[in-house]
Order: sequence, then C-alpha cells, then structure tokens
Amino acid sequence: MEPPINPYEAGQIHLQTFVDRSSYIPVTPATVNALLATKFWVFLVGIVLLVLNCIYTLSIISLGLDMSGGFFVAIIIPTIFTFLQLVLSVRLIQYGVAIGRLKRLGTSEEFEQAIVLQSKFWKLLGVISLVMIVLMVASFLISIFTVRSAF
Amino acid sequence: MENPYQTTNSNPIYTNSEVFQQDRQAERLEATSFAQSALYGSKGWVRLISVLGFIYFAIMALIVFFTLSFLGSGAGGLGVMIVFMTLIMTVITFMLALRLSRFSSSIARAEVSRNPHDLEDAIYEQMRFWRLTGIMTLVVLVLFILSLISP
Repeated sequence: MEPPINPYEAGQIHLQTFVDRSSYIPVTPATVNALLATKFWVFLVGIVLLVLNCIYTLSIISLGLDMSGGFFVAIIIPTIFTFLQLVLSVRLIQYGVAIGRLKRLGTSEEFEQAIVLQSKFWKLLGVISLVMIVLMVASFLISIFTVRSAF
Repeated sequence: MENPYQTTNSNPIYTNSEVFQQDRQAERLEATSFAQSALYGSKGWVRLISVLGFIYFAIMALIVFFTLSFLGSGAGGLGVMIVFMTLIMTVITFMLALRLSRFSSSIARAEVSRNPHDLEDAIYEQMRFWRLTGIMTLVVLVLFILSLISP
C-alpha cells in the first residue's frame, strides 16, 4: 500500500518550478535605458534596408534580367543576397519590436528575447560576410586562372 | 494555538518589509543564463565584423593617400570634393569599426567578470554603434532625396 501524500511537505510543491538564479546578472536601469535608446535607430536602419531591398528587387524585375553573365551570376547570386538582406532587415525590425515590448512589459523574458534577436542578427551578418569573402577570393582566383590560360 | 499553515502576511515571523523586498527581487530585471549565452555567442561575430571594418578602413585610407599624392597641388574643385567625401567615409568606417570592437571587448569583460556594469558597457557601446549607423543612414537618405529633387 502506498503512503499517503502530504501536500504540505517542504520542497515538494515548488520542485518543478525551481530556477537557479545564482548565474543571473542583474540588469541596471542604465542598461535598460541604453537598450531603449537603440530602438529608434535599429528600426530606422531596418526599415531603410527593407525599402532599399524592395526597390532593388522591383528595379531588377522591371528592367529585365541581363543574362550575359550566365544563369548563376544573373539570377542565383542576386536572389540569395536579396533574400539574406531581407532576413537581415527583418531581424533588425524584430529586434526593435522586442525592445518595444521590453519597454512596455519590463520583464526579464523580454530582455532575453531582445538579446537573443540581436545575437541572431550579428551571427547572420557574420556568416554573410564570410560567404562574401569566400566568393571574392574564389572569383579572384578564377579570374587569375582565366587570364593565365588565355596567354 | 499557532496555525503552521497560515499565509505569510499574517504570520508574525515575516514582516511586511521583507515580503515587499522579496516581491521587488522577483520583479527586478535580470539577464538570464540564456540571454547571457546569446550575448557571449555574438562576441566572435561582432569581433569578425569589426576586424573587417578595420581592413576596409585601411584600404580606404590607402586610396585617399594615393589620390592625394596623385592630385598634388593642382587639384580642381571636384577632385578635392571627392577626396573630402572619401575622407569622411574613411573616418566614419573607422569609428564604426572601433565601436564594434569596443562592444566585443565589453562582452568579453562581462563574460569574465559577470559584473552588471560590464553588461551595461556592452549594451551602451552597441547603442552608440546603432546611433552612428542610424545618423549615417539619415544623412545618406537626405542626400539621396536632395539629389532626386535638384535638377
């Protein structure tokens, strides 16, 4: 026979909701103010990037595609970079929205969300930068080999 | 007879000020371990982009230097204007790279010390970066609109 459950036993009721707060860092009001001051600029840059991306895409569509560089150069690479720029601008706008939520609600979860979104932005920007460097080096090497083979 | 299951508010062991402090503790903003790991994870990417910024600055500075040496004393108004604009862009590139570098260094300090003021420095440096980027975006936008309006 099972022993009867004592609901008043110490440590049983809050066992599942216990969170170790020893590793948490308190966020000072100056930190929150600095983050709130970032909101406007992040929104501005994100929206300008988004608009520029839209103008670039529309101009390519309206002017027609120049296929002289081949399918890969004319379509694939611009499409990938347009998409990545779109994601970057959306990430920035999301970051601005998260800061706005932090301003309204003022909880640690909103602070966490804002920090995670900015981290995702920097990671994506870093990956794009690395890919661009690799593409630049590759195109440089290809051009050198092309010139050498011509002579 | 004392009731051991009575709520804390009427229990003489807990004073009202202690309960208030506990509640305030729960409401205080904290950087959770997830937020911290996201911030620390962005350190490397921010450093990478700042290094790329410094490389870009060095290339632009070389271009300005060689252009100035080629132009010499007989430079016309347009030449001086172009060099001046390139010089401004070079200085801004350096400032942006410097702010990103400081942002990355502040994250590294916060990771080691777990001091709230180092976290504050990191967020503040990030705000300064976005403010400068936003101001530059506004300036470029205004110049672009002026160039469209002017005949």
